[in-house]
Amino acid sequence: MIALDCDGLFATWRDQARVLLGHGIDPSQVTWLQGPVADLLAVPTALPEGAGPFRAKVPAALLSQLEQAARYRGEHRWNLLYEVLWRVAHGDRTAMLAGDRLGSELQRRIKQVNREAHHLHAFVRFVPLPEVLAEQLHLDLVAYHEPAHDILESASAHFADRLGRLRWMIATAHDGIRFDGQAFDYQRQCPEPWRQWARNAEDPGAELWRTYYRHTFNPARLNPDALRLHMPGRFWRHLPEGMLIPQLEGQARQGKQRDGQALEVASRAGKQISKPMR
Amino acid sequence: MIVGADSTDDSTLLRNAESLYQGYGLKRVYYSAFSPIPDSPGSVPLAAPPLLREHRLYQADFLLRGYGYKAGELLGQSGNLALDIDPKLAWALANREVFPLDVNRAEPALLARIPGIGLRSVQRLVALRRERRVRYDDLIQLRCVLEKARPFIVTSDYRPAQAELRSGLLRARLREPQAPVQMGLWG
Repeated sequence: MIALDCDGLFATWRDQARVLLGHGIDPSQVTWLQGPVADLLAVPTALPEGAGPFRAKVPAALLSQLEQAARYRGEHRWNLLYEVLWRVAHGDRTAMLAGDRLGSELQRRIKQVNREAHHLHAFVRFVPLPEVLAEQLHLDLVAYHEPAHDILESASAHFADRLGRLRWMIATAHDGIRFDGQAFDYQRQCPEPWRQWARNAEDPGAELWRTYYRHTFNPARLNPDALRLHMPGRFWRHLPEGMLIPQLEGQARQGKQRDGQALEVASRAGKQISKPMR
Repeated sequence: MIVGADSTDDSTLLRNAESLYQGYGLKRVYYSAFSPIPDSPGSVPLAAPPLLREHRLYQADFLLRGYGYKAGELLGQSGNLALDIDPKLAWALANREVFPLDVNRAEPALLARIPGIGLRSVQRLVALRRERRVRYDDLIQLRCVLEKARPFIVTSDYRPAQAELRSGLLRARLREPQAPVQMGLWG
């Protein structure tokens, strides 16, 4: 049994996998270490030297699919990739298709990873820093987010496109990324000060947003399952409206569902708009 | 388009949507079940929003945009979509002569007309059948909705026993359990 450690990097894994494939080493003979708990049966063996005699050709699409699936945090993260690579390299292309048992897992992981990137784009809430601090830190916006997979680096370019030359930073429990208006600074270990800035930043617009959320919430249309499907509960903690959701849901269940839209809205006098003169 | 604020039927709504897609190149049409605020005037219905009807309209809308159905095919005689089954299943039950379809041979556009098999599954099936014959288990692996698809498909190791079953019986078997009636507004 060969035990390898790719340090969570796809590029390292790819180099190791290429050597293994070249020497024709079966997936059952290899294991990649993940985290502190090592496979007890695996006796660390060195990787064979040189490229090996077997020249494998795989479609380019496979490589990009493997790279995407590699961002998935879960069991057999790297072993699964090698198993797929092994089967495709030996002529069994179904291994990358969703109709296959292994391919279905691969495709599921890719989907989860893409979904998590979508969650990042949807639920990161940037908080503007006060002017003095912004000048001091060279940073306009900060945010704290907890993605379930390693998507921060690949999915963050979206914000640079959206925010122009603003300087921003996203901290997570694992990694962090910072944009200074021109270039990204990605840290695999989020520096502790970054995390502090992001967690301690106070959002000046939060109360306004909560008021808006409360008033546009329509209890008659509440669908708790769809709500949780599109906005999983694990994100609520870091959203300003997160505390409101269970509360509004509870009120809806206790009869507000019958009232249609919030009474507060209905009781407002509204504004008279004069008819346009011809 | 607002659904349920007046007496407009699904036929009018869907045909409008169809002409917006075809004549004006619109990308999406949205449907919104009418939800009154308290003390609304008596000219609008004071009832819970017709969410299920809105859902069926969205399903039909996706069939118009992505699957190549015509509004006329989906509506039948009544002018409203059925609430107890989805519009694709309704079409399949009304056009039993098309089915069962052989998953290994049928055109992709026809595959997409099988209830329980969506556009994405069709792509995946086509990719898979280029490599090998498609079996019944592959459809499970692809997470197709087999309760719905079963009477309408043939694979290399499966033929539907229910193929002879009359549409009325199938419909009774496949209808969705109706949610308890929503409380009306103000009791």
